[in-house]
Amino acid sequence: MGPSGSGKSTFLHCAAGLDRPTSGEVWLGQTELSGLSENRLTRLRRERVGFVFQAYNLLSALTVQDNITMPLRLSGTAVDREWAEQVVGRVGMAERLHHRPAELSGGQQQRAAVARALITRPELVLADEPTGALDSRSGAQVLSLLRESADELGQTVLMVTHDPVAASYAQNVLFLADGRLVDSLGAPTPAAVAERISRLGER
Amino acid sequence: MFEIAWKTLRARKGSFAGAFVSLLCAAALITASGILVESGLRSSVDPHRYAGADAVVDGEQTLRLPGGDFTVSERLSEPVRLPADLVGELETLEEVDTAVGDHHLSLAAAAPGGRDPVPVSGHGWDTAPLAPFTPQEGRAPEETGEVALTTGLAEELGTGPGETVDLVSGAVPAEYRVSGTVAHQNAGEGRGGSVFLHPDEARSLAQEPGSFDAIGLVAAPGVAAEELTGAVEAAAGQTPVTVRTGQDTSRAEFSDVGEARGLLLMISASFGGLAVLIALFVVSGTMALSLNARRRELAVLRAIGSTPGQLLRMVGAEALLLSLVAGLLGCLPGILVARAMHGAFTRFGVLPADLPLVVGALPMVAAVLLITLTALLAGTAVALRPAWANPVEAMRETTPTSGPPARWRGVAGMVCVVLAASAAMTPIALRNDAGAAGTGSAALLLVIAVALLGPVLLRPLVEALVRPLRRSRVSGFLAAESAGADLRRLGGVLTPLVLAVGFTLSMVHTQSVVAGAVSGQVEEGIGADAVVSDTGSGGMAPEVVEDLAELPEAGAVTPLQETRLVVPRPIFGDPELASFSARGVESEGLRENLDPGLVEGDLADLSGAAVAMERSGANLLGADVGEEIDVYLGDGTPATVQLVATYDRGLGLGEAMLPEEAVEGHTGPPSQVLAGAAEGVRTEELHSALADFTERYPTLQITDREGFADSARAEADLAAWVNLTGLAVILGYIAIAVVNSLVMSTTARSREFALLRMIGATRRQVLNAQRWEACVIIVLAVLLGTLVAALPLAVLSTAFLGTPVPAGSPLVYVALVSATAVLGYASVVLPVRLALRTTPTEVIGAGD
Repeated sequence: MGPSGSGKSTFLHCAAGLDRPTSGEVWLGQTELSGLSENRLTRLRRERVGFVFQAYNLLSALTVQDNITMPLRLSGTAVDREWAEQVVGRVGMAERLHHRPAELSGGQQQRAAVARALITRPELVLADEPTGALDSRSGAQVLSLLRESADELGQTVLMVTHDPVAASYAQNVLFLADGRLVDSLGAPTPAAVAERISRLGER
Repeated sequence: MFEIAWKTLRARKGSFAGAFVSLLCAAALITASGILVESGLRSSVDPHRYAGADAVVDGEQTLRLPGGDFTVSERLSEPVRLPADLVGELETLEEVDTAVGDHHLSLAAAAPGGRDPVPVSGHGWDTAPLAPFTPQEGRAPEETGEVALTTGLAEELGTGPGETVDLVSGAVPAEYRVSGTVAHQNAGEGRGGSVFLHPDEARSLAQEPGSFDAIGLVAAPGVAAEELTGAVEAAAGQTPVTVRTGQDTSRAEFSDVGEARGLLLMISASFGGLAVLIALFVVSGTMALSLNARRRELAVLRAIGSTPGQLLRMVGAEALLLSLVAGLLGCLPGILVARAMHGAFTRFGVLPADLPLVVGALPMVAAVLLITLTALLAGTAVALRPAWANPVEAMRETTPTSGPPARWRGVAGMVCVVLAASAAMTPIALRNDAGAAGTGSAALLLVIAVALLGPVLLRPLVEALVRPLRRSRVSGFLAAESAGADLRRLGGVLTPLVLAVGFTLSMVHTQSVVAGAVSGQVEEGIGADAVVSDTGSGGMAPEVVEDLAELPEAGAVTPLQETRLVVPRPIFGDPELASFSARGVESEGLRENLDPGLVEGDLADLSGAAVAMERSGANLLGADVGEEIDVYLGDGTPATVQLVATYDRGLGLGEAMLPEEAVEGHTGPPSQVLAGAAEGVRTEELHSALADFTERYPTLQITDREGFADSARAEADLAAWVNLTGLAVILGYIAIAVVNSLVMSTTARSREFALLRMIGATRRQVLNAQRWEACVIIVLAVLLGTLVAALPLAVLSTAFLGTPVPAGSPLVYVALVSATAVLGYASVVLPVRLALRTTPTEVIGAGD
């Protein structure tokens, strides 16, 4: 986390291979990203990275089910029914699989987006301020969901946020300022995060 | 409010560009039709032969019904002349210095021995001061048998004073001595050559020696135009006259100017009506597309506390600014379009070359007003929903695409279908050009119905069409889902394409069906072995026809006098006029030469005060065989005639036939004569006898059935060219609208493409999905466009040709489908390619 303009999103985009760093290397697991072609990067993204954005996560023309399984469809992988049911059940969207995004609340849409991110069993789920556009209750649901996927499914989740409460759901908080990693905090609480942030501002 | 609107427009040029282009083109189109209308009303040619006259009096050339308003009028096909003694009466007026009666003689002139006579206009030398013309070489014609030629004509014919020239009147050639050449004192040759005869000679060559075509006046010194007009009208008393002064005298001089203006007015009214309708239709569609893409922005405004009223005012202000700027800029290309159309009409010979275009401010003001009003209405109508929507709802991720279509759309759509059905039926009721016009209107109404019914109509079609696509894993699947999900957007994109296909098909095939019907009817209806026609000497004098009939090789001979018949016909109690093409015929021998396809009655009864009519025309008048009809003849003379027969082949042979004696004195001499071979004479023998015959009469030409069909079709062909010109302009506009709406709707989806790429779709997958979607759109457009045109065309074709398959080249269809496909495909795929160039994170990060 970090203040606006600290480079959080750029960092995230570099990690996902959406953006190329001007210098340095990006390693995703055993793969170095900078040398890959656009097509390889795309393939890597859909197989090994899951994405949750702040908003507009879903394709309006598709049902929830089609949205969730879209990455599998794109890569031509068969749907693992058991896993899909587990993921859908976990995000609580089992009842709404045939709805279209326009018929869902913002929180429901974000939960469907989390399910889409998990469906490929990626090595890394990237979340870019996933609760930025939600009310606190829906936000809490989505954050719990991300934390549970780490705790219970062993899913690595990298989340960018500027909200101390959201950050407190993580196991580890890294602080960015002016494009550099400047600090870190284990087992964060909202108060501790807020205090570090305010110190960042003083420097 | 305007400041915010202006800033919004400037900040978001991209999203307004589409609406702007559409408004600009609409303004151009409306300006162009407005200019044509204004030219039809006001355009005039400089007077030449009457340039020196202060006023010219001629007969009332327009038929009006007593009690009818000014719209109930019909231009008479035959010249209405003035009694000769009116000249004397006008001469005695103290406001008048000189009064000269003028005959408009249609003559043809040829150098002695020269073939190919040229058409010239002939006048008495006493009218020379009206121009004024003065002798250049030689002298004025002083006795009968002498003629003076304008200098240009003398050069063209290669003759001069002291030599001779052949003048052909009523197909009869006569040799004249050239007394001299004359020239206009203040102007050049004008439109073409004139010849001046001794006044007595002019009178004897006139069709009605006891009357004049026009009377030219020179005012007494110090008498103003209005004074002169008043005095003349008072002196004319009961005789209906038209007094023309100043520039207007040209209308008495050139009868074709009045005709051309009427024609221009008619063309521009029908073209303009269509153009305005289509332009407004497209403008409202684009405004809806452009505002739909901005729903979220409107929601934000609602969320930060704008009232619905404020929002509507803002949208209104934007629409106002946008359409004012676009409208003003559109006027200039509008003038160019009008010039191009005018040029085309002149080239086809619909308009005289010297009739200029009148470019005034009025059409432009009207165009700007019209598009501004439409943009305002369409904009606020579309904004109504987001303006009153709950801002929280509206702010939600995706634009609401579902929700039932408004009920008024369904009702209006069904009304259009009903209107279209009745328009499609007009060719059955009225088997002429006017009836055929119903087909185009029906197609247009059906397109509007498609636009209004949109989602309801499209759902089953799209479902059926995309089913096979769903089997594909990515591209086809995405295309199928997105085509099916937002039917309203699909409808908006589809409408201009359907319009292009349906409109073109109906226009082009209406022409070919009518032309096919004309040819077919002439082919079946003309039994004569030869057709002799006069070119440019004002028809055939009776002695020429007699001479022809006396040829031993000739059997039945039928002279045809072309005129029109105007019949009063009340519609819901209001007086209206119906005008029919008519032919004066000689009933003797008629049946051998002409078979109009008798339905009822007997053509043998066609004598005295009688008429035979094409079946649907008689139906229109509600007249049965045996009944009497009150009609106006070609020169406006009222008559009562008995309907003795009805027939089928009105398109090829004319909508009404009257016996020669009924039209005698009310129309000119016959311009065509049908001749059959005498018994035992072969067609070739007749033709060679006729060839010898026309040696004696240089203006006569021999043709056959096909030549007759060509001349019967000439008017329809001309109308076809005129319509095609209008069609080309309107199609150009529709093509712009198609590209515009497709580009707009595709560009608005860049976020969707970015999202797809973020979650792992390759560029190719996104592009392919859009390719499939473009294909769905094209197939739907061709399908619906074909349908909206095919249904009315089938009715037309059944009524005119007896088969539901319309005549016309299938190449037109192939070309049209290809053009639609290329245009539609390119307008989708190119913007997608462009959108895929930006990195997806930029698009998603951009907010919006």
